[in-house]
Amino acid sequence: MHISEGILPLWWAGIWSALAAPFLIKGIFDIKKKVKLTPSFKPLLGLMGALVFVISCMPVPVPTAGTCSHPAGTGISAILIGPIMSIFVTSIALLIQALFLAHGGLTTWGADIVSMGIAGSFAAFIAFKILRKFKLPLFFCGFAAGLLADWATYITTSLELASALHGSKPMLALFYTVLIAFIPTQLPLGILEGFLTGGMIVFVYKRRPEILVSLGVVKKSIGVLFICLLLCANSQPAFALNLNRRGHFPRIGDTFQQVVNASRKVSPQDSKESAPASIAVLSSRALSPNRRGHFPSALSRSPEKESVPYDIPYDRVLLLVELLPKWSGVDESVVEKISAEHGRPAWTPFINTDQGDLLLFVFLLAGAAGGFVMGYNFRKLFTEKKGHNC
Amino acid sequence: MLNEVFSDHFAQKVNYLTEVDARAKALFIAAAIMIVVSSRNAYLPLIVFFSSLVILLGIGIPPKIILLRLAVPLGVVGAIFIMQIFFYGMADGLAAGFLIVARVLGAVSLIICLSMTTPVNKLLHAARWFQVPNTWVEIAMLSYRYSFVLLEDAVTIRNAQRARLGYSSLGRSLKSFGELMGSTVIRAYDRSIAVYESMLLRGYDGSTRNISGEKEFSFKDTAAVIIFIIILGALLILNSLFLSSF
Repeated sequence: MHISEGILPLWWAGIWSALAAPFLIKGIFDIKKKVKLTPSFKPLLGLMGALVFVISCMPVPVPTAGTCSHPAGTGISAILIGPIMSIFVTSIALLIQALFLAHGGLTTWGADIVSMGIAGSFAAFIAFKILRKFKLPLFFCGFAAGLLADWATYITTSLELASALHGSKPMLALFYTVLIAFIPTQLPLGILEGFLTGGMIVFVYKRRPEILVSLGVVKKSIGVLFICLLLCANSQPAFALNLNRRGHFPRIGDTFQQVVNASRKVSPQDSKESAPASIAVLSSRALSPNRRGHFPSALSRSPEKESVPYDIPYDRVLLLVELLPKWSGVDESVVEKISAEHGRPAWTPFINTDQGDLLLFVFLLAGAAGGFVMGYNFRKLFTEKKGHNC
Repeated sequence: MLNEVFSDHFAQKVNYLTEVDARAKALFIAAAIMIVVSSRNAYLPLIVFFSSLVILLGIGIPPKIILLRLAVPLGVVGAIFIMQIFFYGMADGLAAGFLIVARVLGAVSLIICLSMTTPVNKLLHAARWFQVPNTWVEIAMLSYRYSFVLLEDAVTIRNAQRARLGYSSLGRSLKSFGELMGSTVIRAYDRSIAVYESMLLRGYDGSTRNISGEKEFSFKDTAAVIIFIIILGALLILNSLFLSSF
């Protein structure tokens, strides 16, 4: 919602410009600092300015008013590059809009920066960050950011108009009049912009999550949490069944190692039955959150470890494999048993393939030899046909 | 429609006004806007509005484009006009509302004059001369350049969505529009990396240099400045005359 050129008296235009100036100066200093570390930041800001401009050019039909309006776009930029940078790029987009589309103006530039840039960006940024802290889905966070950015802009614009145009009458009365006058368009437009911003951020997250990660919008741990929740949902029934039967509950406050030790104590005595129980203990302990909603310390040992995307706990998986019982086959459970009963116990094998990685090595050798033979005779096998000399 | 309004096609044409130095034009327009905005009666802004219209039509701007550019501010001003009548009553409200409408028309027509005769890159070079921080000017130049490119991309995506009935109902429109914005964000990000890499290959070290240099004031520019000063003086005198007559 722009204030057109000529609406604000010069005095008020000056005040709003003075209010906007410190934010722009802070933006310039921040950019200078950041460019020293990442020189690609300036082109990124340039494109973000273009993005805000383009988004605010797109017409959105407002059903209640029967007209077209346009999104502010500051909610999106605030989410992507932070509020100060968003104010900076909004100032540029507003100038281009003032010159080309007669949206806003040169004297009302400062007032427009305050309403669209400062109020909109901060409202969107704060809403987004707070809701992310509560781990709400990305769509809701984006929705709230877009909605509040639009409404904050609208309320600030009403305040600006009221302060400049109230004349001899009280300012608050005109403020309420302006607020009510713009409700038919701005109330639904805010909700629409919320949906658009939410849809946008979810779309980018689905298609190119690395953009949001590199801009610091989402942390990498979201992927970890998602996978963990999925695994947790799968392992929970096994956990309940086996542990109730075995009477072996992990106690709250047990460390991962304690749980492993407890399972290991059980496994030699009754290996065939206790192994699934120990797996259940391990998987559920390792992958489900504790009473305070945190994941066990072994999974998220340090903040760096927590932030690695799709971090599968390989050490846990190896332990699980180690604890698996050796399932016996027909040879062991039938043939060996009967021959032992008749006084012919099994010999120790000449080459024990269970030792070390011998079996793996033999498979590797066989695979290499087979692959070589197949590759050498590739033409004969796949291209040449009998009776054709090609 | 947007392509017609958002274009510096007319600013690139050659006529007397486009050849005048951007610094002189920017200063003159800024001063004239200040005079129009601070006027206490509707006559001066209306005189400015009509003379700007004559100049715009004189340099060959189609009336449709001028009307399209005036449409948005007129919509906002219409709302404020009605609000003023409700707030102050018929007599006072009409007078106050009419003054605001006149000011907006005068000021906006001046801005249209500036944008129709000066490309933004020249204005930004002028801004450098006025000691506007280089960081701001540089990013503004990038934004200006790539807003055309991004707009083109966005319009293409929107047309593709329309061809697939992406805007056939409100729910679908919201989804399509969200995806359109998301795709634009992705393209903006990718393009920023491509731009940085191409600039890096050309020796970019974190700041661009002004290679166009300062243009010397020609005889034409000096004449234009003198004319501008005379017009501004006339505006001030008119303003005081109208003030004394009421």
